[in-house]
Amino acid sequence: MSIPLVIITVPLIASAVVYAFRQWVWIQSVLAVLSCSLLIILTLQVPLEQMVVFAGWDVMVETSWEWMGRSFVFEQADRPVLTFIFSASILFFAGASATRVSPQFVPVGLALLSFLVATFFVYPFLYASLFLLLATIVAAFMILDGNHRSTRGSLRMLLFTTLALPFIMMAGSQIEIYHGNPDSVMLLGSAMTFLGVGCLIMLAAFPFHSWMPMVAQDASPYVAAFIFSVSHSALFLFFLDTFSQYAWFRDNTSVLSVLYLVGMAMVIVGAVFAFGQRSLGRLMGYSVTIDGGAALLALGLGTPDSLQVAISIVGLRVLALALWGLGLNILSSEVGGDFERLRGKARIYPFATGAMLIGGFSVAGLPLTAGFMGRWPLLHSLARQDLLSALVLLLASVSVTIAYMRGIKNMLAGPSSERSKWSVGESPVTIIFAVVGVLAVLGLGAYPQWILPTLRRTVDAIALFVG
Amino acid sequence: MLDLDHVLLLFPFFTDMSLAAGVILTASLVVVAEDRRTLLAAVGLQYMIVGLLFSQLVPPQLVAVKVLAGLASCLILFVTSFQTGWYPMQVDVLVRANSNSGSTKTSKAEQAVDRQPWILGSKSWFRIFAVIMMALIGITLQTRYTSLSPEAWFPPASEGMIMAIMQLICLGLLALGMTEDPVRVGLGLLTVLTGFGLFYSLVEPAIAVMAQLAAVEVLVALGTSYLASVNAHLQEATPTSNP
Repeated sequence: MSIPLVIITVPLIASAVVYAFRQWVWIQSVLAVLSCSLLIILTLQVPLEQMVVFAGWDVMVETSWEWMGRSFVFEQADRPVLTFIFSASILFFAGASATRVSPQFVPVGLALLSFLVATFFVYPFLYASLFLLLATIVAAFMILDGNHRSTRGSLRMLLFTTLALPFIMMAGSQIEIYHGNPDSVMLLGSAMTFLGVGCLIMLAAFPFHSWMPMVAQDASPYVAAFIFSVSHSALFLFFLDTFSQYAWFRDNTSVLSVLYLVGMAMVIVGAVFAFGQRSLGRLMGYSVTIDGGAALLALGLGTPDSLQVAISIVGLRVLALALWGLGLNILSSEVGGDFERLRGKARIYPFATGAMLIGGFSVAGLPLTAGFMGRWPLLHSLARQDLLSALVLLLASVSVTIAYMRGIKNMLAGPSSERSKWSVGESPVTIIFAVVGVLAVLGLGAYPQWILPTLRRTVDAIALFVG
Repeated sequence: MLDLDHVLLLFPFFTDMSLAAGVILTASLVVVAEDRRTLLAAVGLQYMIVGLLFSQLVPPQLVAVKVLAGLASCLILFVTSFQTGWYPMQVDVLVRANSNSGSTKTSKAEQAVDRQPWILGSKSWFRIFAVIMMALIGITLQTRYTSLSPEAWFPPASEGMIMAIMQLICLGLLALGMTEDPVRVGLGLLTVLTGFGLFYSLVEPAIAVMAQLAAVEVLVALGTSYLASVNAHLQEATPTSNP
């Protein structure tokens, strides 16, 4: 039994099975959560290169799988990363039953997982680009549904992912040539340039970030949240793995400077555009751009704990985005995410509004929310090296918060006769998910000591994988 | 049985430079043409011309696979265009309407210009101008490449080959920048990927890598076809786009 084969095919099989239940999203949710739980157990517990007894049969657990001349290898260090990806997916698949998602969200999400995990297994890494493209195309199927039919975001996402491929492939070939000719500084320089540009395009870094606000506007908020957290986090970890794999890349001060500059540019651009937004979807697109910029800033600082800080920023985003997606999906399912169209919605859907707001604040890195746990060490390190950058990052959070406040003002507004009327339009399941989510985000923000030891262990384990 | 080299010997005018000129013509059509039939015919022809260039670098069997993968991509987009319509203009209008950033109605005169290829509208003149500018950039890059290659890592190649590569990439990128129609974006991406594939075969003519690039081309065609179908369904549901 080949572990990479099992881990890649289980989500694909589950996707086909789950698709048959498209009339019942809650059954899809349960099946997807069970599949991901099974994958987590398998990822964490399976003994490598050993004989095990499975259903009365002696089975040899193999860690590699050859397919069309390519190697897919499962390593000990892959365990925490895969566990993170599957756990994040569980969060979204469980919440799918509590919000108004299309029936294709869960099956397509499972198929997407399959391609994402394949990128971590395949060797040499330049072939990962094919799986990333597959994941992007599958994501397009998720973005477009009965209510969301604008193709601009998906098209832009596909465009950028495809344009990143040549750079990653060129980097792969340059690295191979460099290994045979280690004295060539020119080869190293070109490999570094290609790898850097390819990864930055994939990560939607400035100036390749334009698809993020578009997807956030075009897709259902829950789907956008899934793409920005699960898919984008996996991409980020893939980038960190590549970044840390090559000492000449990781330790190069020019690379760190570029990461710092690109991160700062993302923070500034995100902050400027977020401030003027009148759509909650696009606002989240720019918030995630700021958050991604913060993660790159952390890497660019080059401090001993840079990797850990970057990973915790990206990891903590998942919970906040799931909560935001859950809330806004309910609010915008009939009218879209524009401020004007959401007028008075807070009075009809108070729990969804709360979930959306707290999730949004957490992605913005506001104090007393989970997102602040990742931002605080970054601000600390930044303030020591470059106070102005720390201030810019703080201002970016303020900019997003002000935009949300404008949105909430609209959502609370309404005819004067109805201003005192409040109702609860959400289903009990939605209320439970929203309340648990809000408590989790606020609880982690107010009492970080509850989770810090676990978070530190997880982040260290992932950092070990990428470092 | 004649192999590709013998076939090429029968046509002495198929030099690298003449093939590059053919590529410039087809890639320019990808930017300028409106009718999807013209676009698809241009890209199909482009694959065959590039196949002749490929034949100098890789075995004929591999060239055949490469050209067939390209033509398969064109076929996918052809089927989609056949089902959704040959003119992308309405889709562009639809995208504008959907993003609430422009007028949802187009004058009949404007539509007539777009549906009659012998009348060049202002949009087409602008595109021709952009193609000329981009082709000049491609020529400049080709000149620079030739002067760079002796001391840099760039693999050596004939002038015609480099010209074709640069023009495919430059004009493909231009095509990407000038439209939001999924079919045209797909064809622009295929043009860029064809140029890159040609360049990469100079760097590393490995079968696995070529197979990967062929797979990428088919995937891009599938992805953009799906998006074009969704756009077309949206068009059917939006009566304002069909005056």
